[in-house]
Amino acid sequence: MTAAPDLRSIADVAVQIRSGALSPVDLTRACLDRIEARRDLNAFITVMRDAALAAAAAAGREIATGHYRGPLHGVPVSVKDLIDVAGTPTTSGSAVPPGHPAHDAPIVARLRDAGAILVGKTNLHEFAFGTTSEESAFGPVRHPRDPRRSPGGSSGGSAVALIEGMCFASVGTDTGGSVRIPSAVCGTVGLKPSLHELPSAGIVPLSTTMDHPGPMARSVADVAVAFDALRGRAARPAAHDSRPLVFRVPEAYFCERLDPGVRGAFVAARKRLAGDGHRIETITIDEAARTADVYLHIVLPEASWLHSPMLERYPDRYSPGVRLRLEMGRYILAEDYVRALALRAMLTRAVDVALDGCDALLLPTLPIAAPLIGATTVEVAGRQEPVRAVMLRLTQLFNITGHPAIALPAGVTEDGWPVSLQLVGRTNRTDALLQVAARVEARLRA
Amino acid sequence: MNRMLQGQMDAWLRAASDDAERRGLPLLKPLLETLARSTAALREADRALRERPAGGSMDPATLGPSTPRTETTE
Repeated sequence: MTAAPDLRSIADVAVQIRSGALSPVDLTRACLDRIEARRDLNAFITVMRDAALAAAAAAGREIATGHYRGPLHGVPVSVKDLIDVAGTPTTSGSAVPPGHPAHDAPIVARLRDAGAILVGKTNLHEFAFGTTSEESAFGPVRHPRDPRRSPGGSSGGSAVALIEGMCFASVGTDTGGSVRIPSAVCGTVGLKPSLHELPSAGIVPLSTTMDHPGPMARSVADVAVAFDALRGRAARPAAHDSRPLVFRVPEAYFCERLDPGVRGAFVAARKRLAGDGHRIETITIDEAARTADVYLHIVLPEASWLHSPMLERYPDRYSPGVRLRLEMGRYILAEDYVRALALRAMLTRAVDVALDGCDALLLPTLPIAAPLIGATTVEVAGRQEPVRAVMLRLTQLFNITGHPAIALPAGVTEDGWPVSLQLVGRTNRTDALLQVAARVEARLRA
Repeated sequence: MNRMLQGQMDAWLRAASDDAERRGLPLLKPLLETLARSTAALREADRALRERPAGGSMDPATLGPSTPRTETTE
C-alpha cells in the first residue's frame, strides 16, 4: 500500500524544515516514492533519485548549521523536460536525439540557489507543440482522475506531478497556454508571467516571441514562492489590501462557447466575488475574434524556422501531428507573418486599454474539462470543434500580447472535473496580479 | 471574402497542396485548407483595420484600439 500524497503547502513544509522537524531527505524520498508508485501516469521522463537524495542531505546539513536560504530550501521541485539540467538529457518529449547540456538553464540555477531539490524532469507534449501531452515519445501523460483522459498540456507532466504529490512546485513553459491549460485541467495554479520576465536561455524554444517559462504549484502562495526563486529576487512585502477590487470580464469571444459545467462554475465564482463587494464589469476587447488567426501566423513560422534543421534530418522521429504542424509553418508567406505582427501590436494595445482602470481581467481559463486522449474534436455548446483550437482559445491572446496571466481553481463541474478561472494583469505588474489572485483564491476556497 | 482575395487564396492553396503531395505529405492537405481560411481572415482583418479612419498606418498607436465599455455591474 502506497502512502497518500503529501499535498501540504510549501509554507507548511518550509516551517518544519527550517525548525528541523522535517528532514529534506524524508520529504524528497516521499516524493520519489510517489513518482514510482504512479509510473502509469507517465508524469516524468527522467527521475533524478540519487542526485535528489544527495542534494536533500546537503540541504539538511546546511540548514542544521544555521544557513537557511528561504522557503524552497530542501523542498522537492521538478522542471518540464525541455529545460536544461546539467548532466541529464533534454528530450523535449521527442524521439529526435536529445540535447546533453553541460550547464543548467538560468532558471534551474536559480532554483538550486534557492535550495530547491530537483527530483526530475516532467513529460510534455512533444516540443511543447500541443495542448494534451499525448504526443510524447515517452507515452501520453494520463489524468490521475481518469487515465483515459488528458491532463492538458503541453506541461501536462508537471500538473500531474503536483496533484499526485510528486513535488511541491514545477516549472513549465507557456507559448499558447501550456502552463495555464494543464493547471486548469488538473485543478492547480499556473502563472504565465509577462513576456521576457523570466529568462528563456537553456530552454528548447517553440516560438521566440511568445515563449514564457512559468511556475506551477498547488496554490497562489506556492506559485509566488517559486516565482521569486525563478526571477532571483523576492517581491517587496505588499501592504494589506482589503479594498474592493475591480474586475472586467471580456464576454464576447471569451465567454461565448463554454461547456455548461465550466460556465456554471465561472458564473458562480463571479457571483461570489460580486457578493463580497468587488466590482464586476463586462468589456469587449476589440478584434479578439482575430486571436487564433494572429497566433497561428506567428507560432507556425517561428516554430518551423526553429525546427527546420531537425525536420530536415529527422523527419520521421517527430510525432505525426507535431511534424505536420511544423510543416504547415513552411507555407506561410513572409507578408502574412508581418501582417500578424502588426495585428499583434493592435491586440496588445487593446488589452492594455481593457485593463486601464481595473485590477484584472477575469475569464475562464479553458472552455472544457479534461478531453479524452486521442480525441480530435470535442463538443462545445452543441458544436464539434477541434480539441487543439478549443483548448487554446482563451489563453493564447495573452501570449500574443505578453500580459501576465494566472490560472487558478474555481470549483468543479457536476461530474467533479476542475474548472479554472484566469486573471490577467498589466505588463510587468506580475506581483500585483499575484496579490489579486491570492485574494480571489482565498474567497473561492472559503 | 472579396474576389481578388479568393483568387489569391485559391492559387496559394493549389500550389501548397501540390508541393505537399510532391514531398510525400498528403496528410498536410486538410491542414493547409484550414490555414488558407485563417490566412484569408488575417488579410481581411488587416485590410479592415487599415481602412479605419484612425488607421492607414501600421503604428499601433493609431490602429484603432478597443474602448472599454462598462456594460453591467453585478
